[in-house]
Formats: sequence, structure tokens, C-alpha cells
Amino acid sequence: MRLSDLINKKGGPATPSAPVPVDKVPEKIHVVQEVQKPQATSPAGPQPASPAKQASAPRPTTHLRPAKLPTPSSSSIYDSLPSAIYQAAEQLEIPIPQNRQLVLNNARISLIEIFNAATDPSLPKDNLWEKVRNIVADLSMLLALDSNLAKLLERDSSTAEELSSHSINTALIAMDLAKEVKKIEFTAQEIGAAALLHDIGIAALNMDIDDEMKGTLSSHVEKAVEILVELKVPESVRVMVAQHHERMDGKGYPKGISGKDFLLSSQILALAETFERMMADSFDDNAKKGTPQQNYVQATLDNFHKALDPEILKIFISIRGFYPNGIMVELTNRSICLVLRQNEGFPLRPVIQVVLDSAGNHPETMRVIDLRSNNSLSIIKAITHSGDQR
Amino acid sequence: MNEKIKKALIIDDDQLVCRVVEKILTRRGIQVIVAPDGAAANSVIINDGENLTIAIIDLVLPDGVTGWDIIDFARRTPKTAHIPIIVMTGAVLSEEEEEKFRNKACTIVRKKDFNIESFKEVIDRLIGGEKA
Repeated sequence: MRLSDLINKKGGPATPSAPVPVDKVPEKIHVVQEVQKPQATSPAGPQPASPAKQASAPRPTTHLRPAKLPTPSSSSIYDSLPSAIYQAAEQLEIPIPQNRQLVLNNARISLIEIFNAATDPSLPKDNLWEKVRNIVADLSMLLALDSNLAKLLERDSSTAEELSSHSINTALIAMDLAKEVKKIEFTAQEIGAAALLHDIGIAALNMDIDDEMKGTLSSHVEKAVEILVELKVPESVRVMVAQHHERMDGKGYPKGISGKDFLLSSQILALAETFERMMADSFDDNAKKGTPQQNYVQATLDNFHKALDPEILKIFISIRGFYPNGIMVELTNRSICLVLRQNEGFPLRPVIQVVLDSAGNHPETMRVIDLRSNNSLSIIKAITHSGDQR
Repeated sequence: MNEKIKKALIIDDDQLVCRVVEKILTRRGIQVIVAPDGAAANSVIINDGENLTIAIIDLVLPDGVTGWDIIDFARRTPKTAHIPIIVMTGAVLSEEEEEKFRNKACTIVRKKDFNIESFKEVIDRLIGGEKA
């Protein structure tokens, strides 16, 4: 059974119906171990998960008939179980699939299949959107089960899998960020779906993923939107894909939109996408072995100078930390330290380990400093393998 | 002491929700029947309704029969007209909707706020405390 079977609410649009007549009622009572979910045919369920979703999902008011429930076309695209249920399941020691690696591998394979089917005219395109939703549901569950995003991010080196793992990483980062941003236009799951599909144009045009980093190629965005229209992907997702290289200062592409035309949801995708590329080095095993790493948070922020809503950047820093784990920093007393972990709410004051003390000596015993509780010391700059940073 | 065994009907198409609720109830000595869809739920109400102590119902089910239908049916069926019903939903309900449920003697538990201890309290309040 797929993970998403556990967390997707199944079923088509509910319609009023009388109780099933006795002669049509199955005699056997299902017990929980025997429950088989039917194949989902369409999204359903009155579970507004965001302001946008609530707005598009009229609630029943005077009479409680399912005809008033949001139809698949008007409802948002996902239902997933609230994390409270997973927490309860864990407390009760109910086994739930938690093999992250398996889920991520399946997601990667499934996304490659989606890319192939979507971009090859000879392959059938049935249920591709449904498969995207399944991947998003799986990723949502992983995030609900484990708040440590770093455990989930991996890059594969083969070309096809690199694009797929980039897209999945982007989805995880974007959905994680979206949870914290208020007043976004779309749900975290819709943003996740857009993240999975944002580079489908690259797959279709047989481009190298690194070509996109040059930032001059608008064709892959236009191609992506074209494919998504064909796949009947909801407009919310298409809009985000179309905008994922735009910037608030109007210097993005393909349309060069600016200001509020650049939706917050699209900004989350843009930020996550770039952050993932910046981080890609850290997924490399060789890079992991050597420190200091690049300060990819700072590199991402530099990339988005005046390009994103400050609120989004603020939340991004508060989640990721200004000095990410694994980088070297220099303190006000001139000692050199390794960032070990973040202090939530104190992005500039992580927990660090002294590598070289203020006299330039390696400490004889491990010295760990929590900068949150040590006001006499501060970080003055990060030291990266490409040189000092501010 | 010949107390009747309590029996709960859980109607939800999500296995994990069913397992969570089932485990809480069985630990309290309550027998559980799980129905993953409306047809199975109505079958239990018809064939075993007189033995049910409580029903826990999700509103949206996969076969077109909804939680609303099942509640109406249970209330119209003499064997289950009186039993406590918990509406366990992920939907955001309006005040009017909640009032409608209360008028049908239903208690609402929101999945997003689900908490084992609170759920036990609801069960105790509706059908009595844990049996040794």
C-alpha cells in the first residue's frame, strides 16, 4: 500500500443518497485490517486547509447536504490527515510507514515516470495529476512525521534523477516554508505540487538542469505551462510554475512581473527552488566530508536581494538560521567555530563548537557554546570554502 | 454483574484514523466494529444496531453515502436513535452546522485538534468510564 493511501481522502464528489437498502447491504462487516480503499478517482472532501481553500469551498449552511460540499473542481486539490492523528498514532505505537528512504525513492521514480509520460507524445497521460497528488501526499506525511528537513533532502547524480530529486527537495523545502507563511494564496500542498512540476519544461526540452542556473532560459517555463495545461493541472499550480523565475523588482523572467503580481506562493517556490540549488553541494558526499560548507542560506538571500517579500525572507531565515549547521563562523573574540545546531527564534545565535580559540589553538576538550545564552559573544562573519562572507 | 459489553461503530475510510480510535476504545474494554464506507456502516446499523453503544462517524466517505446520511439513518432507526454519536471530522464546520449536529445529539471532535486524552474524556462523558 502506498503511504498516500493512508493520508489521501478518497472518493468522488459526494451526492445525496439514501441509506443503502438492506438487500444491497454487504453482509460482511469490514474490520479495520480488511479495509481496502478504493482507487481514488477525484479529489474530494470538505477540509479547507487554507484561506484560499476556504474561499473556494462553499460551506453548507442551512441544510447539511453533501451536494453543498465543494466539488473536485472547486475544492483544493488535497486532503491529508492532520499531524495530530499521526502524533496520536505514534503515542499509541501504531505502526505507520516511516521508511523515509523508501518513500523518497518511490517519489523520485514516480516523478521521473510522470516527466517521461508528460513529455513523450507516444505515452498515455492518464492519471498523471493524480500521481503528482500522491507524491505530494507522501511528502506531506514525511514532513508531518519529521520536522528535520535535512534528513529528507538528497540529490541523485544521474541526469534524470537529478531533476527529479531537485524537484522533490524543492517541494519539501517549499511546503515546509509555506506552513509558516500566513495569508498565502494557495495551500502548502498546491505549492508542493507546483514545486514537483516547476522544471517539467527542462525535461521536455532535454535541457541540462544546470542550464537553468544561468537564468537566461525562459523557454522551459513556457514549455512547462504548456504541458501543465495539457495535463489539466489546476490553475493555481500553473500560475506558480509560470512565476517561479520572476522577481519582485521586475528583473525576473519570462514576463518580468513585479510587486504584488508576484504571488507569495510563487515567491515561496522561487526561494525554495534557489535554496535547493545552493544547497546541492552539501548533498554531495565529498562536500559533506569537508568543512567549511558554503553558507547557502546567505547565498540564497544574496540571490534574492530586493526580489522577494521581506516577510518571506524573514520566515526563511527564522526556519533555516542565518548561519546553517556545518558552516564555520568567526566570533567577536576571533575564535573560529563550527555551527552545530540552530536555536529556534534566534537565527543569528546558533549553538557552536570551538575549532580554534581566540589564541589560534585547538581546544583540548570539546567546547560547545550556546550563543543564545552567551551574550558576550556574537558571530561576525561566516567563513566558507569560497572565502569570507560579510 | 452482568454488564452489557460496550460496542462502538467507527465509520471512517482512513485506516490510520480507524486504528487510532480502535486502539483507544479497545484499551477501555469497548468492542469495535470498523466500517470503511457508508454501505458497511448502514449494514451494521441494520443488523447489529441494538448492540451499539456509540458511533464515531467521519463526514466524507468514499461511496457517496455520507456521514450526514448515516447520522440521519441512525437517528431514524429505532435501535440506534438514542446512541451517542461522535462526528469526527477534518472539515471546518460553521456555527450553524455545529448546531445542527448538536440538535441530533452529536458531539464534534476535530481531527486537527485530536488528542488522546481529550478523546478519552469525550468517550467517558458519553458512555461512562473505563472498566477494569
